[in-house]
Amino acid sequence: MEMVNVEHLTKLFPLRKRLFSREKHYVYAVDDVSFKIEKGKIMGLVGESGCGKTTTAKLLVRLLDPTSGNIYIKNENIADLRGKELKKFRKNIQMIFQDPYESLNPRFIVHDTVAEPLIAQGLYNTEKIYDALEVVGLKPPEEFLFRYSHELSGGQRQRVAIARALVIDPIFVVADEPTSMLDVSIRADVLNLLLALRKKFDLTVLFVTHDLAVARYMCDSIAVMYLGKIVERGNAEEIIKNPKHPYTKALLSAVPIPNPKAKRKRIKIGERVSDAVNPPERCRFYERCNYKKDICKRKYPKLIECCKDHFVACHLYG
Amino acid sequence: MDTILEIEELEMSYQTIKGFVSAVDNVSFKIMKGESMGLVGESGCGKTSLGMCIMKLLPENARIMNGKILFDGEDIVPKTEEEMRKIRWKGVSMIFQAAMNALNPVYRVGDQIIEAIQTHDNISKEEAREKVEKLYELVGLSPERMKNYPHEYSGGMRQRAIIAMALACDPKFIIADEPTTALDVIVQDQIIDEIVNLQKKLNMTMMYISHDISVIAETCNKIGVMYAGNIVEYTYTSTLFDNPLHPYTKALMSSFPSIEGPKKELKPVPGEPPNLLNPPEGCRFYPRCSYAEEICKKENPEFVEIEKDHFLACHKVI
Repeated sequence: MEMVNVEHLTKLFPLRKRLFSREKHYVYAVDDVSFKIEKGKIMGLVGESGCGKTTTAKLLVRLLDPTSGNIYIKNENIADLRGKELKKFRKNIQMIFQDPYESLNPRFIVHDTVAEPLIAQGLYNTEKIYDALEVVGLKPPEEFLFRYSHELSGGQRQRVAIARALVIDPIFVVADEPTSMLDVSIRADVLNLLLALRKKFDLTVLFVTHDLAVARYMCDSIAVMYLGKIVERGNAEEIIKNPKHPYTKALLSAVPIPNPKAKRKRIKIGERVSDAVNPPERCRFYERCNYKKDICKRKYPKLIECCKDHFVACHLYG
Repeated sequence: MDTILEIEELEMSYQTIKGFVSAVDNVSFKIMKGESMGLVGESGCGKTSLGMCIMKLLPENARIMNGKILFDGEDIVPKTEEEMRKIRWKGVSMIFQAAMNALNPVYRVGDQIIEAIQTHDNISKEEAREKVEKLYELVGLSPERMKNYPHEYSGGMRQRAIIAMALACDPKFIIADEPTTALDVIVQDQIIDEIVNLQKKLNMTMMYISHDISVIAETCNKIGVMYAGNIVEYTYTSTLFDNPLHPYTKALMSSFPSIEGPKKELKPVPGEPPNLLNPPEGCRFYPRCSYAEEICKKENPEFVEIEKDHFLACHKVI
């Protein structure tokens, strides 16, 4: 069953180039993005910084309003929900933020932080808070309930953030780089916790990360983003083992391997990234691509299915 | 081979309101000329503090309590600030962590490097400028960019400029402190490649500090694993990966996901790193160690050579 279905999602940020200019310029942060996530699956959204990963994440939880496009969650289009309806729907989608040092209010004790979504929805219930803390491994809950966030370690903070997201029984969770601020040994712990929770509650998750190794470990499917567009998506193992798009290939070849004997072949691409302000019709990767053809300059390639469940947007295929 | 740096029983603490934080404790190791040593560990384990000890760029509240730092046979611990200035940059230099903050935003990048050269070498501005031009070419920057300000550089270019600056006075020994943390995957890879090539080309000795064991595996021929102020294992990279002996090293390795080989389950280290204000008695790793015994709680294991060039601090393996 499809839990999340995103169609032609677009977000433009207006930009004033000169003080009195009438001309409108736009940053194409997310440009015509479509994907689906099955119930109980984790999709990874990977890409370099500035490619629009976080904007996509924020659009899905409606922290930003989309310029156009549809977001279906459980067959309900939430892209145009407003006011009370939106508030009511919010309990179905929750977000886990990147930096647990910033996403927790320093003046709240753990209880207040975790109770916040329940209070907002008028569902306050002490038992739920206890359960949520226990489920994320903060045991016994009594010991943590009255602590401020400065009394917690980084890993514990992120656990509180996860408890806050899960306390309201969401059906869809967006995790925006939840482990990039954590230490190695703690990171593995939090990743395993997220996997266990997914299994336990049959959660659907969008996992945003810049780390391909983490994406492979966590996700069932992976979508690679480049300058606001999804350039490739498919089964996680398939993307890692058999990448098609030149950008995905370059990205994978740049990931260091924790084995001194493994010799990896670097694919060299240019450092120059095209401008996301009013981008021309051509392929966004054109400047950096080693395989560019004439057609790439004229037309943006469509996302096509090159093998089963493996989509790529490149003129080299199809 | 000659030893370039030898550290003997180094102990360094920071004085805080709550007491002494022992950031580096009983650290001894040697680096030979032309070697590259990787120092790996989690944040707060004392990697950067150790690097700063070697540069003697310590804040006011830091004290070297004990031990020797022999650089080229000379102990630099008792040296005054005046004497250290002669060693810094010509003897030991450093590639700093945050490229964003290591450059002065109101000076042209070229001028900053010229200034560094003129402080140490008694040469004219013109000669210094020529030298910087050569350095720029060496690190893969166009010399025309010397007249630009830091904000006109991309992240990767800034890091290249920082490398050029570190090489400005032909140092014998270079410390690279997480030179790629803030960079994107592809740029990170290019910088690592650059550093490895330069190290070979100029036959430099290097100490590479990182939290990412996969980066170290690719850049260094020796690895020191640091935990809570102690170096717990130190040997050749290939030996360490074939035959890790310390429980922490093993745990660290199995908590890294990889894009290569079959998908493995991550086994995180239970617990959190200790508070160094009040480190556990005995082995600092015992509260998290699954092999811990009575002796580990009481006695701090000695750092001994158990095979040729394989140093280890653990009661269980010896």
